[in-house]
Amino acid sequence: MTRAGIILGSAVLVAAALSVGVYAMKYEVERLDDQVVALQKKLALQEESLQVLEAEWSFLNRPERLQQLAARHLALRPVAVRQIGAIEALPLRASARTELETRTTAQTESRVPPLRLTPAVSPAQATTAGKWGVP
Amino acid sequence: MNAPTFMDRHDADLTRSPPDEEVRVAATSTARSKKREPRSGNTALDTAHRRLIPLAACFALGFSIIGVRLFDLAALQPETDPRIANNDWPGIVRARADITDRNGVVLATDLVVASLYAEPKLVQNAPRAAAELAALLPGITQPELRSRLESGKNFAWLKRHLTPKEQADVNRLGIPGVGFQQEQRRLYPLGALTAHVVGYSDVDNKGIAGIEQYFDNALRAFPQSGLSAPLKLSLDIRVQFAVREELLRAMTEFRTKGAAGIVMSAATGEILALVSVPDFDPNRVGEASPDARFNRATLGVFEPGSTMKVLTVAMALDYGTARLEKKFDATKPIKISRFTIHDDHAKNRWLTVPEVFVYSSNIGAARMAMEVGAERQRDYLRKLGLLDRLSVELPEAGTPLTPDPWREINTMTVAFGHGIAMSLLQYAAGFAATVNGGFKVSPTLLAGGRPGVRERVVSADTSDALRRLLRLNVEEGTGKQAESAGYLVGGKTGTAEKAVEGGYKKNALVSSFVAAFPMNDPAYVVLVMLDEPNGTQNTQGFATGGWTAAPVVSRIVSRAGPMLGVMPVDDKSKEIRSRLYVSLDGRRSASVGF
Repeated sequence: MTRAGIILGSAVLVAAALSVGVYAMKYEVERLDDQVVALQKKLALQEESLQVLEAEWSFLNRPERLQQLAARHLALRPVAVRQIGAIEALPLRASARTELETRTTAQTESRVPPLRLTPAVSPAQATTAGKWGVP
Repeated sequence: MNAPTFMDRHDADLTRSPPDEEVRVAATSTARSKKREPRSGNTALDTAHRRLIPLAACFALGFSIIGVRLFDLAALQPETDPRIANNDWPGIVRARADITDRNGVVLATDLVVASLYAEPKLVQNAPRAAAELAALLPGITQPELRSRLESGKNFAWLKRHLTPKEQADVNRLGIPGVGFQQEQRRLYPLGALTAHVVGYSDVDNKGIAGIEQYFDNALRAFPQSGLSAPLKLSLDIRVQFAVREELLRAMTEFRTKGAAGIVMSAATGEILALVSVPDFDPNRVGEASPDARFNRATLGVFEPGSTMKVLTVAMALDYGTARLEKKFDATKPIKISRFTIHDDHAKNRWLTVPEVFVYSSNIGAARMAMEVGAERQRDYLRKLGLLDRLSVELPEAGTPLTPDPWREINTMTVAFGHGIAMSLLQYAAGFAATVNGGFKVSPTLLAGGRPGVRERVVSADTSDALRRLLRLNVEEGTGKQAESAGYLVGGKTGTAEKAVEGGYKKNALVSSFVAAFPMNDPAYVVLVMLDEPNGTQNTQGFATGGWTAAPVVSRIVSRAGPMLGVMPVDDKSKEIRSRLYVSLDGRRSASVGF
């Protein structure tokens, strides 16, 4: 074989190999393209359902309906002013208060016994307090 | 020596250069002419070969680029994903953008629905098709269907926006020449709750009322416009619901023709609730009466009545013609031309400013305004935005009725809210400026409020005085029934006889109450108006603002306060007393009398 022949032969081989590669790729691209279209269709469907669901969510959450449902199934009432308070207005936790008191007694060296801590809500009240509005 | 040398050379260049150029040009032309003549022994073929070489090189380069790319595509793994996958997904086609409240609750959205059309030319048995369709589709008669099917046109709508069941039924008939078209339909999930704000759009998705009309272009340009997100309104649906429910209750109780209510942020003018009843279901606009479609809160103009005294007092204090301690002669009615101005709860003595306010003295208010003068009164009201058309994002914006010419008598009647009419929202905005520290308020329906600088229209001291007066009026005056424990409500009643042609209609009242809370630092303005209320046994037959509208305000505040995060306070505390106390003789110091 001449040198030119070898070069030509290998070139043909390379070209053939490349063609096969490109061919495969073309079909791969077409497949992906179909996939994109299919996915977009799916997306559109999902988005449509999302729209419907959002509308339904809003419809089912109508304040009017919620109020009726709450009245039927819950023992809740509108918040009364006396039920609203600030964190700062809360009494100290029992442990923190005892600590504070022992410290102050130590400082003043007074003989006054620490205050008896009474719970803010009596146990009897606590059970009914679960249902707001019950006196 | 340097300069002359340079000059010399420069001069030399200038003088020498033209001949030089000539010489060069001549030389090039001779070279070219030499090349063209193949006299030095080469054949024409050689020349052709030589000329082909650059061309061949170009082709070779081109093919090798293609080859390399081919090799790259076929043999090497692509490191990045094909660009097509990254193309933006445009989303489904939508007719209009969504509208939501300030918390994202959907107020208006699009749904895909089917519409039924016919191609009459293709319909074979029109009478039978009409009969079959009429049996399935309510709202359209058989003759009407038949005339459409026999029209001989290429296209005719039979019914827009079918329900899924109707679509399935019609589909089962399998009539040739009849088909479905997918369409976007506007849906208002909350129904009547926000009808007067959001408005509605027609069958072709064109906004024809409310926000839907005002922002029609922007909503329809979606998603091409910058409006990629839903249009977010300032409304708070929870507050809106509370207001509507209380208004409907008052409407039944006092057998009114209608009612309207507004809750607005005192500082930014953001409208949290705007209700006008009777209202309608925007999903079925066709069934609504014109009265139900009339927006009493923004389009209707009413004489405000005594609520106007808030602005009269603010004006007198601001111009310095009155101080709180100053007394006005209310010993007897004022007679001017053919009118007589008298008081409903006449005290027949001289009254201080707080007394004029709390006893709602027309005479006192009229005298107060006369001292300010017509010119300045008009300027003041204009500054508060009460004399020009209401500016808000609704096409249904009322234009106030103002006296023309503005005579002395008008100055007096305007002082207590007669002879001038404006929309509720407009009055609410003017009122807000007097209690929020003195800054102008432009009402808005968009979340976040309108951008812009704060413009002072009322002095800080006047605003402080009005807070005290309004609170005093609820503690001890005509507004007692507006009290809502812990929320420091302050407000003013208003009762106006309805103006009809040539005078006033007896027993046809517009009763209102304007309030703000919490009064130590007003965050919200509440305005309630009842259109022709009737007294009941509970109100001892009274239909005035203090008896009918004030309790509605109280209930709205009690319900909306916790939702809006307003912290209840102890109204007897020292700090609150010192900030809100004013005595009837006009002293702001709390040390006296307590």
